[in-house]
Amino acid sequence: MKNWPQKHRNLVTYAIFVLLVFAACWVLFVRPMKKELEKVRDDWEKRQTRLLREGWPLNPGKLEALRESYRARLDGKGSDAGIKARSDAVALRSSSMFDERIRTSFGTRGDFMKAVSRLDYQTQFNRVFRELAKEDVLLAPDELKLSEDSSSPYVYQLVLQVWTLEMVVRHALDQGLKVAAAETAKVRVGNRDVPAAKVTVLPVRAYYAQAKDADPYVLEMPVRMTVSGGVDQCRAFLRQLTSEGTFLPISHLQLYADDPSRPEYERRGSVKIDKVRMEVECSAFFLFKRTG
Amino acid sequence: MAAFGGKRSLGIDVGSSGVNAVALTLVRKEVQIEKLDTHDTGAEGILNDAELYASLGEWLTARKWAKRELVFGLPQFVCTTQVADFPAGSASGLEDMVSYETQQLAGLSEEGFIHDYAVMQALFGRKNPVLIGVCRESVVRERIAAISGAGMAPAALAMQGLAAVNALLWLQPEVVEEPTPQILLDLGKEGTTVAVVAAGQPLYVGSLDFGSYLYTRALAGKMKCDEGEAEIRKHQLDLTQEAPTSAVFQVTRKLETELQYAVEHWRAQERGELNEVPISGVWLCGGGARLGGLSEILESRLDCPVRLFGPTDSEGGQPMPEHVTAFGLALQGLGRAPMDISLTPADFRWSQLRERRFPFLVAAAVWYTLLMVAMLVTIYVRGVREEFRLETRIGELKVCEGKMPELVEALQAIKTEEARMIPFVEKGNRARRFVHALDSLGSAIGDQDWFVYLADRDSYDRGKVNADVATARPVAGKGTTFSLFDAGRPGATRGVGDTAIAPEFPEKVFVYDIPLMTSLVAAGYTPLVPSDPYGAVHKAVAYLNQSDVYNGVDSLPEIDRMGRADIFDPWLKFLRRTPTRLYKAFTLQLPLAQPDIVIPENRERERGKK
Repeated sequence: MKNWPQKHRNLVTYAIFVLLVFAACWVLFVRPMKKELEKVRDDWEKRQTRLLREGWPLNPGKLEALRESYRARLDGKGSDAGIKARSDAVALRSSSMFDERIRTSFGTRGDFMKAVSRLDYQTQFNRVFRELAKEDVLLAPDELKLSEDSSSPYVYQLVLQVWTLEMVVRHALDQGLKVAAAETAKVRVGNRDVPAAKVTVLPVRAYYAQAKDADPYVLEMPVRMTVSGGVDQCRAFLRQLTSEGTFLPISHLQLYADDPSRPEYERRGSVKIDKVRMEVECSAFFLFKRTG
Repeated sequence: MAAFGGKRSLGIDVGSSGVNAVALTLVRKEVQIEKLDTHDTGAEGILNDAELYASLGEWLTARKWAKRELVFGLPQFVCTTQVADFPAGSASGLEDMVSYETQQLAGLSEEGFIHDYAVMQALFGRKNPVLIGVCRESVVRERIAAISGAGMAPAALAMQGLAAVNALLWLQPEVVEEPTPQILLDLGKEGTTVAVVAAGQPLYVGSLDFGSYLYTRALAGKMKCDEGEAEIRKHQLDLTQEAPTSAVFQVTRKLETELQYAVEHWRAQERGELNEVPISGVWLCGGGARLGGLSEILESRLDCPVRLFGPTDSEGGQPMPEHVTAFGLALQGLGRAPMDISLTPADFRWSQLRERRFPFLVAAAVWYTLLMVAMLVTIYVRGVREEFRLETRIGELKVCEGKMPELVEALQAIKTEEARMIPFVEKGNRARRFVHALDSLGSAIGDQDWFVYLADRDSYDRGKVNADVATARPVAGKGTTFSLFDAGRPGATRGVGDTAIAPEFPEKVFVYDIPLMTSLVAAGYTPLVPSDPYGAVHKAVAYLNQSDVYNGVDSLPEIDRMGRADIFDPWLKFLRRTPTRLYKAFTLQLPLAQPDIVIPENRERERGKK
C-alpha cells in the first residue's frame, strides 16, 4: 500500500472510514432497534398465541361484536328475552307445582325451607298416606323408603318428597292406572297382611350448574313406581306428566306387555296386548335458593 | 501488448525546436483530426528538459488536453527495431521467443530493456515475421519521470520512427498495397529517421546522422549571418538553384549519402526475396521536408518518385509533414495504429491502468457507500415500521385481552344458563318421546306382530341381571344417579326411623353429568316365516327409519341382549304351550335422530376431568 498512488490510499482510507461509520451505526442504532423489535415480536407472539389458543378472534372489532352478540343472547334484544330470562322462566315453570301450597302455608320458598317443621311433614305424610290408602295404594315404609317417623335436619326435603309422591301417584290413579303390588313389602290391614304398593321415594338429587357453586340451583325429588293398565291409560298418564301446570318429567321408564300367563290370553287364543306394566321414575323440581 | 483505448488522444512529438501535437477523436469508430498544433519552445528560450516539459504541461492544460490519452514519442536513435522471423507457434511461445531475441539484441549489456512487438503478415519469404521494438529501460523511465514531474500523465511512450510509419500507412493507404520497398524519410531539425516499408510492413527503421540544422548552418556560412537569421531564410531556400559546389548543396549530398548507407544497411540484413528490389518511392515528412526543391533533387538523385505527406490541417487544407510523427503517436493513443508497439514499462502501464480506472474505483466506493447507507436505512426503517406494526397489533391484542374477561364471563353466563335448563329440557321431553315411540311402534308392526317391551336404553341396561357396576350404576364421574330398579341405594343415608344427621344433598349432580336419553329399546314378536324370518322386522325398521325422530334403527346385537331374559321368558313359556304357532323374537334399538340435549365436546372433556 506504501507504493499506491495517494488517491488510491485516500480511497481505501475513505472505505475503511465508511465501514467504521456503518459499524458504529449498526452498533448504536440498528442492533438496539433489532433487539427491541425481537422483544416486541416475542410479546406479540405470546399474546397472539394465548388468544389463539383460547380460540378468540384477534380483532377488537370482532370481539366487540361477539361481546354484543353474547350480551344480546344472554340478556335479550328486541323481542328476544334472552337466554337468562328463558332459563329463569323454564326453571320457574318447571318447579312451580308446589308454589301454591308453599304460598298458602309458608309464604315464600325461603320461608318454607326455614319454617317447615317435622310436625308439618308428619301431618303431610299422614294425610297422603290416608288419602292414597283410600285408593288402595298402601304405602309401606320398607318399600317407600320413607315413613311418618323419618327425620332429617332438612325437613323441607321430606315435605317436598311427600308432595311429589302424592302428585305422581295421584296422576296415575287419575288415568285409571293401578299401582302394582310390591314383591315382598306388606302392610297390615286389619288382621291381615296386604302387599304394599310398589312405590319408592328416591333420594333428593341436587343439581349444580357450575362445579364451583356451593349450593345447587334446583332439587329433584324422584319417585319410582310400577303401575299397570291399558296402553291408552299409560299414554294419557305420560302426557299428563308434562301437561299445563304439571311438570313431573320421567327419568326412566320400562314398559312391559302384560304377563301372558294370565288366563285372558289362554282364553283368547291369540296374542293381543291390551294391558301393560310400566316401571317409571318421575320427579318434581324445586328451585333452591338459600336465604338469610 | 500495449493497451490503448481512449477515445480522445493526443500525440506529442517533442522536437529540439518545438513540440508538435495532434489531437484525434474517435467518433463512431472513425478517426477524426481535431487539431494540429505546435508549441514553439525555441521562442520561449527553454534551456533544459525540465523547463521544456513544464512549459509543455502548461500548454496542454491551456488547451484542455491534459486529460487525454497522451502518447509521447521516443527519439528513434534511442530505440532499436528489428524484424525477426520465428517459426509458427502459439502466442505465449512467441512472447518467449521475442524475449529471447530481445536479450540477444541487448547483447552483454547489464541494463534493463523494455520491448514490445507486433506480428506482421507472412511475406517476402518470412514464416512468422515479428517487428520488435527495444529501448533501454532507464531512458524510458527518465522520460516518464520528466513528463510526470511536469504534472502530465503519459498513457504511453512509442518510437517516433514507427509513429511516422503508422502515420504513413494510415494517411497513404496505397503504400500498404505496394509490394516494392519504399522509403520514409522524417527530416527533423537535429535528427532524421529513415524507414523502409514494403506491402505495409516496416522492414527497417533507423536514424540518420542528419538534421535540417545543417542547412541552417551552411546557409549562415554562405550568407555571413547568424543562425537565427539563416533559420528564417531557410524557408525561402530553393535547393535546385544551389550550385553543386555550394555548401548548401553539399548538405543535400550528405543526406543522400546517409540515406544510401541506411538503404545498404537494410539490404544487407534483408532476405534475398527483397534485398535486390529497387526502391520504388520516397515519402518525405518532418519539418525539414518543407525545404524548397528537396523533393526534386532527391527524386533526380534516387531515380524514384519523392512525395511529401502529412495530416491535413482542417484550417488550411494543406498536408502538414511536421505533424506526421505526432499523428502516428495519436493513432496509437486511439488504438488504431497499424503497428502498435509501445515501450511503456509494464509497471507503469499497470499504474496507468489503475489511474485510468480510478474513476471506476471511486464510483464503486460511492456505490458501496450508497448501498451500505441504503441497506442500513432499509433495515432500520423496516425494523422501525415492523416495530410500529407490532406495537399496533399488540395494542389491538391488549384491547382484545381487555375484552376477554367480559367475554368469558358472558360466555360462561350463557353456558350456565344453558346448563341450568338441561335437567328440565332433557327430562321434560322424555314422556313425549315415549308416547311417540308407542304410536310409532304401533304403526310400524303388522297385525300379527306385537311388542312386549319398550324402555329407554339406560333403563334397559340397568335391568340386566348380570349388569356390572359400570352399567348398573352411573359411570365414573357421572354423578350419583341410581338404577331405576336397584333395591339398595349406595350412599343412601336415610332409612326408616333413621335419625342420623345426613348431608343436605346426598346426591350432587353436575348438570353435564345427567345421563342423556339417546336411544330407546323395543322388543317384540312376529310370526316366523321360514323363507323370510326377518321380513316383518325389516318393514318395521324401514318404517321407523323413515321418520325424522329416529336415525339408524336396527336390531340390537346379541351381546346387548344378554342379561335381559326377563323380557322374553314369560312369552317363551306362553308360546311353548302353542307349538303350532311359531314366532320370531326381535329386539330393536331406536337411536334418536335429534337428542334434546347435545353436550358440547369441551363440556365432555370437562366432565371427563371431573
